[in-house]
Amino acid sequence: MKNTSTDPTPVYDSAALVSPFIDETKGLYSRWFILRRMIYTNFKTRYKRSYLGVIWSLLNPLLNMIVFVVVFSQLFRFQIPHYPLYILSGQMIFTFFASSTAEAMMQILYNATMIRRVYLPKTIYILAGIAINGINLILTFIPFLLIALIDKLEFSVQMFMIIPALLLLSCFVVGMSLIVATITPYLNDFSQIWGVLITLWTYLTPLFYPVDIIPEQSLALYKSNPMYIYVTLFRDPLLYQTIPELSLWINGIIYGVVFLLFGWWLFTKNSNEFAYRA
Amino acid sequence: MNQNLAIQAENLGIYFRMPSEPISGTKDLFVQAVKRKIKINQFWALRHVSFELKRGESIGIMGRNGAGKSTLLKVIARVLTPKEGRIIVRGNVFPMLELGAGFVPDLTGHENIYLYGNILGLTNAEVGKLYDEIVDFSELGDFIYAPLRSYSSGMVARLAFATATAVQPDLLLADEILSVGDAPFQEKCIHRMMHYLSHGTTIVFVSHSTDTVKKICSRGMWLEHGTVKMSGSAEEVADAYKAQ
Repeated sequence: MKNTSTDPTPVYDSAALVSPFIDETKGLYSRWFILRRMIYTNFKTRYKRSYLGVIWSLLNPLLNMIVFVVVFSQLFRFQIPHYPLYILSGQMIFTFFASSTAEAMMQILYNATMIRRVYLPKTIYILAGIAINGINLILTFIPFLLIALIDKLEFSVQMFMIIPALLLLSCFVVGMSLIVATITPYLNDFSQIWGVLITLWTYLTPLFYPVDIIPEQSLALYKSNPMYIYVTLFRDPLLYQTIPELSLWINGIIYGVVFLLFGWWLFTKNSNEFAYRA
Repeated sequence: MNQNLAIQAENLGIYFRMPSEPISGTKDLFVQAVKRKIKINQFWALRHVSFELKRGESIGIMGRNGAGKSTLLKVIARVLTPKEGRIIVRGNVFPMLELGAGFVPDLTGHENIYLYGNILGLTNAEVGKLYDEIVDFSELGDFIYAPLRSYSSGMVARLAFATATAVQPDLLLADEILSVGDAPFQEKCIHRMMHYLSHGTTIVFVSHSTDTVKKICSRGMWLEHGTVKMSGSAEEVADAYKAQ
């Protein structure tokens, strides 16, 4: 949509809405500038009310990391090289996942007034919420770099592999967010259940303990956890100059693509109902 | 299909679900599922509504509260997809369903103009070109840099109307928009709507004021309990509605 006045007349025909999956994709493509605006709006409104604003999103993971380092290096004495960075990098990935999904569940509710009054492709609300958490993730590289310098982390070319890792993670996060966002309007207290599931998920992912403590017989199952995969794909090249084996990458691609497609299908199939329920 | 029609509504039906007992959470869902007590009543907000509107025509929708006027506008604006029947809308739709629906209270008037403009399908560059004119029309002056939360409802309405009508739309949906704002501003709004109308814009206008309907619209429709009670010229319908 370059210019609304010179465009060929758009036609909306309710009987022609046969493939929500494709309609939504096209609608989003033609209104990408609204997505950009919504991201800006979210960012503005979120940080306007707190004194430290953006600083909080940098300080938060750092303070959390300190708590973990103090508690776990005293309690369990894990032998993990670059332990503070191990915690910080795992947390960056997991927080992006956890807060994106938590936010996605609330997006339909928060934007209820708008959803009930103007038509926009509904994925815009979800994607805008995820984008904010994506920006947060990128910002946490600042405290990460700081600690990396103090901890004398070795810089290497392998580090560039975090880019495909983050892209795959984003696909998975978008898919998962769309799934939970579809459930919430039908089941109001799903966010409570999801909170518990996320806590469980935190412990099932090697965020502050090493993978060696997992018993041999359950290792295969343990490693099928998508968050284990994405954390490893991110952390190994970043901290240990190693590129994870091919099978891990393939699993990461499968989880990313399957969840993204399924989430998009499920969400768009139901999104016309949201205006009735929001 | 007739390209000359801005709106074609065929046998439109919209219902809302009204659970006999509210199901709000998982517990309720389980309890009710076990008891097999989930009874959902369908409340038809609109039913068997058919009409056609040619390009450049204006229709005034009248009816009491809950008659389905706003629901009809929402169907035209694609907010609610019909449960029954079919709707075809040709052209860019500028919905003004409650003025200021796309606004965010924490943002300034300036930022809200861009947000609302984007929602209406205008790019940033296009909004930029219209910006001065919008601020001018809204008569907000320096308030434009204050957060919207500090505005009076009249100010919000002025800003919303100014933004929504900065570009001539193909189809303008106006829901009770003239109930806010003072008389001179209402005059200004009507003037602008009449101007667009004479230049080809189609208008669907919801109002309780039969006088305004007569002034702006050529056609009229009277809704009652979600169905069309009367349809005809604005004059006829407005008089009949007033006489009831």
